[in-house]
Amino acid sequence: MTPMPPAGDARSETIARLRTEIARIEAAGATGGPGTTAPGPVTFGIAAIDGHLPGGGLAPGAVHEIIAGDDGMAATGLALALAARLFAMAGRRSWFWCGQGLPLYGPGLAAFGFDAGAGLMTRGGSDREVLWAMEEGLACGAFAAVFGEVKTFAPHAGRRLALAARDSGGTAFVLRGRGAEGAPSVAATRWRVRSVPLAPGALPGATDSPADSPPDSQSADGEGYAWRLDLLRGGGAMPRSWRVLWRPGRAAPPFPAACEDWPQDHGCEDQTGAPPGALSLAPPLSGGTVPQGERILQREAGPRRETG
Amino acid sequence: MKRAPGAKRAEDRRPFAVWIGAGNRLGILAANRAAEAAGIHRGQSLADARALYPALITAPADNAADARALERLAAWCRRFSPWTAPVRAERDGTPAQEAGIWLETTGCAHLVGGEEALTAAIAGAMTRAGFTSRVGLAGTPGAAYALARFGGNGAGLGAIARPGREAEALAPLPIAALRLEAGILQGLDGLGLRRIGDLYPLIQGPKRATLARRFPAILLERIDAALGRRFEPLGLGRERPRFAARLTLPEPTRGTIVIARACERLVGELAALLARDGLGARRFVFTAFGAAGQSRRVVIGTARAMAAAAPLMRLFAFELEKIDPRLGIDGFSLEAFATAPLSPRQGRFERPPSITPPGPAGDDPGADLAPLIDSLHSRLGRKRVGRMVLRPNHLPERAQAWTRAEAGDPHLLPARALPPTRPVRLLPRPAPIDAMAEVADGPPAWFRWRGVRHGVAKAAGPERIALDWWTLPGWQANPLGPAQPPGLGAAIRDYYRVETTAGARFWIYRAGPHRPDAPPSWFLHGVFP
Repeated sequence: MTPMPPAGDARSETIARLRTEIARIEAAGATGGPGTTAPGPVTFGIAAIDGHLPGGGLAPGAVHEIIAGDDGMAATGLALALAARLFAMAGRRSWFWCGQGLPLYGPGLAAFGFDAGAGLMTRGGSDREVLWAMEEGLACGAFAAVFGEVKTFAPHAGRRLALAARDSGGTAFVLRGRGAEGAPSVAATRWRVRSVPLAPGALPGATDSPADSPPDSQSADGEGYAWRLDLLRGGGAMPRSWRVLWRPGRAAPPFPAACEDWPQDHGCEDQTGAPPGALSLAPPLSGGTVPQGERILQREAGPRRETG
Repeated sequence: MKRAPGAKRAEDRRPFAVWIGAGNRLGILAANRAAEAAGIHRGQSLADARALYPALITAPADNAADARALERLAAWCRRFSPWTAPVRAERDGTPAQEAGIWLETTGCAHLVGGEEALTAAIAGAMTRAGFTSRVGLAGTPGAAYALARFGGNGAGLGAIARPGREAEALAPLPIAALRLEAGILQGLDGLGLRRIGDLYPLIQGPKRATLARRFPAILLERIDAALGRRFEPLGLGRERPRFAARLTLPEPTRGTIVIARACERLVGELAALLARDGLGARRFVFTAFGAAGQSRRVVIGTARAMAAAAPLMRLFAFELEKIDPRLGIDGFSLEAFATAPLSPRQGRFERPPSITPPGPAGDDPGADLAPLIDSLHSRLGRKRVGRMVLRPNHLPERAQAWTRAEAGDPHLLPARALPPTRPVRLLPRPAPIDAMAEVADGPPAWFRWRGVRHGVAKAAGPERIALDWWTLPGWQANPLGPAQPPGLGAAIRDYYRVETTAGARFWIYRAGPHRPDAPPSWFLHGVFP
């Protein structure tokens, strides 16, 4: 019988070698194919989030799933903001939107740096048609970003989309309604996002006077949109939550200006349960800083689940 | 053209006849072989037939259904030739009961190995489909008609007139083969003229004038046409495909995969044909022929002339699902219509690379969107595919419009020209909400939308947007007097961007300025992220 320590060494060596091999294959597979240089990840521009994600951001040429955490349009906003980052990095701005929900509004998209003329849209239809249209849009290779709103997103459809995205280099954003967290998914990353109140004194919506300079302090949001961002799944990254603030700005990339970890002691339930008509509330802007390792452990022990 | 009601093929052996009311009697119009064996024949009265064979199954003739069936069969015959039409009684002078189908087989015979092989193939396919048929083939329609009905040995194969030898082939046939009225036939019979060959000496030289004087012009027209001395249009009533490809299977298939493969192969062949001539087509018709005489067509239209196989195949992919493979399909054809020279590549969808630098990976700025748009149109319908155009209109719902996907580069407004205080989604029409404002002309303290009560935590506004008062009801343009708008109050909206206590952000407005006598009406118009 072979002594254990050498066997373990050999095994770990083999595993390490295989891991590097797999990483190499995966990296090669993630690019648009042989001969193309690997494009960089789509970053949030926030060190905390980009650093947390393996690869330093969202992989281009992949499918990313964004689940609405409320009945608002935060998921749309996040998809638009990420796509705007993608456009700025890829040097392309063509997009394809396969919508089922409320119609998009061009003037609002313009604030995200979207060019209405560079977009093609389909409206209505079934999930099957939307997913098919997304796949066609990815396969034709003309679009930097392809969006689709679906209610159900079967793993089979997801894999097809992922292949089409990988082969064409286009990035797909699948927008899903509330409560889709439980369904299985093959998306590269999976997010849940909901609108959260801005800091007191900040006004909702963007203003005409863009904030070119970063906000002077974390407690003042200025004007923009605040979201709670939950990373549900991200290629090996631990689930984690942040509060992010999107602010319009002339300086590209337009997203975002501020970010902070979502404090553990403030759940969203607290705010939904706030008395109606209250004109002020304490937004979770000044949560105590928790060491990162501890936070991850807490997440693992009991991930927060929103109700409804 | 009729099967016994509810009868399957195996039961066709039972005597069956179709009757028709002719004058004051009911006569047999058609009988199947079993009935003929029992002594029942066409023209017999129904009473006689029933006396001969009491168990005879009968059905009244249905001319309209027969005509429809003949149309279907003619369409099915396009597996042999792209140009087919039913023989029309009223135009072709044939008795109404004579069912027939014209096939223009010019250039088709060599595909199956000669004229004998073609007639054999047609007769064989007809038999397999359950029809009794006779086939005649000649250089003129008249001769083919005569040979099909009166030529040959009666075994169903009919007869073939060699090119230029129509006169010889027709000579032994009765004059009735020329599609003439009974009156003319009787007159000729009275003169002892019974065979077509008997007429040959009379249609040339001085005797031709005599014949023309004594009989209606149709007689000479028919015989001249049959002999090829006069052109007889068939009036096939169908656009002639410029290019076609066809495929016959050795035996019927019921597999969808086979249909897809056949389509793929035909698309490839046709694409090669089109490419050879530098042409594309805008309409493609794929037909699947069932062994039992049915056919199914799938039509693909494209926005511009296409010749490439792969995008065509994508367009066909969904449509092929509509073909029911249970037909037992044994033949396919693909035809191209509306051909045009292939246009150079369409304009770019992306901005020219001089404006936006080319991306690092897989960036094809000239990527052609036409195939995608065609594909989307064919599956989703034209109305559901489009592009967004921004318009210089201050009214929110008119600031953007939906336009066709294939429209050229829309006139773009610079993004900065629009106030960035707009939602990302706009309701198709503003939704009325219940709202309560703390201050009379201020934002609401709460509102109720879709049954959910939202407390307003923050509000920005108002942003006053005046409607086009001249478009409002009650305002009539008076070209003579000074323009006097109606109450401007109805034409004003005060928009607020509000954030609810939960964090959701909406775009709501109060219609009209505050009035002490009436509660204001509030609407929700858009949703912010």
